[in-house]
Amino acid sequence: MKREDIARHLLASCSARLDTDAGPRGTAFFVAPGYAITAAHVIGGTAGLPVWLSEESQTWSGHVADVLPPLASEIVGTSLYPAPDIALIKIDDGPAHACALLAGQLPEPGARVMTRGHTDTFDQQAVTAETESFRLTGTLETPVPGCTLLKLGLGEVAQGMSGAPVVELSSGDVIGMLRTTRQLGSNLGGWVVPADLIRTTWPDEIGLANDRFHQGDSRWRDAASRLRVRSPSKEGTQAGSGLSIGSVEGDVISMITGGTIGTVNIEYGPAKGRRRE
Amino acid sequence: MMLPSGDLIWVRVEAAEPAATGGQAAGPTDVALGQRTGPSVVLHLPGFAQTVRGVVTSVRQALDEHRPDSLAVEFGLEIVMRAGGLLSVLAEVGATAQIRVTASWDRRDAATQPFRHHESGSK
Repeated sequence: MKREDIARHLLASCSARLDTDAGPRGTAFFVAPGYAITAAHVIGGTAGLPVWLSEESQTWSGHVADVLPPLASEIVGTSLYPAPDIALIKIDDGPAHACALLAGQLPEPGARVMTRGHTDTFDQQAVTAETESFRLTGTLETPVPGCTLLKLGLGEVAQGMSGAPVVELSSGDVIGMLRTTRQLGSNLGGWVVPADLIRTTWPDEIGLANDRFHQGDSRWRDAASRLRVRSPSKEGTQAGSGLSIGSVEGDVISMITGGTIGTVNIEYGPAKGRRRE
Repeated sequence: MMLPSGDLIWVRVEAAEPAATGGQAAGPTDVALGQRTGPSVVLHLPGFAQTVRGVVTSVRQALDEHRPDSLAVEFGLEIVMRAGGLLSVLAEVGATAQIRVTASWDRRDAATQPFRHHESGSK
């Protein structure tokens, strides 16, 4: 199974579409037994709001237990919700669920990551699951002390991905929660609230409970361990008789235009100058 | 949204299209589905009654000397949410505003056919 397929399964096991009584609003994901998180702007910054989560045939009902920061009149109508823009959802009823493995440390710059959200990309009348991969390109400090967001690039953040988990492809850890696109309709990526900030915001409900869940349930770690196994195709290239001097991978055209035109992959293999484009 | 009468109504809100970016919002944007304002947040619409009254009064005054027996006025309202949560109601928005006035007389000495007058205007 490809690394992306494993990541997709992990994301699907912990994420869900979020609805309020006004209809679909975005994405949430489970972080501890009986708890999920989403972006505060997804639920209108309103503590106590009833919500419904759904994934395939399973549904959960719950309510917004806490919001950071809560909705204030002065932020209605502004383009961005203030940092950190996270909300804790208490599940009141529903089946047992898996929990995302929250990362304990920041990923390396340039790390490949994937997200899965519930968007209206295909048809604005229907909401469906959508995945996208990115590169971690940097960080962004906010006016809120201690709140530094992660910046993603080389991928498109679609409407509805707010509240979606972001998993690192090399470790299987969830590095945070997607909240904002850097530019709609582009592959400029978006902003992520780091997992560490989510842990420390609710140390009991999420921090300790997340650790406890994965101490007793090894399924996520078992699946994630397969991400660390080098793929056979890559091994063949590396183990060949020639000298591998590395690879260039990236959406080169989009870095210039801001829009997705194509992808260029170049690998330099054995001594005879084999080149593949 | 709450009307001045106290009645609550649902309003479907679409994001305004920035002209310079061809309809795409420029710069960072939160990516929830629908609008940020939560369903439990009631927005008040203080200018609604004044706007409707103003349009109707203006039309009546314009036709006052003709004294129609019946008068129908059709016009569109646009509800705009501005930064800071300020709501306003506009009866005339850009070049698309239209007010349709239908006045009729059934007095024998006024006219044999109902008089219909359409007026389109914009600011």
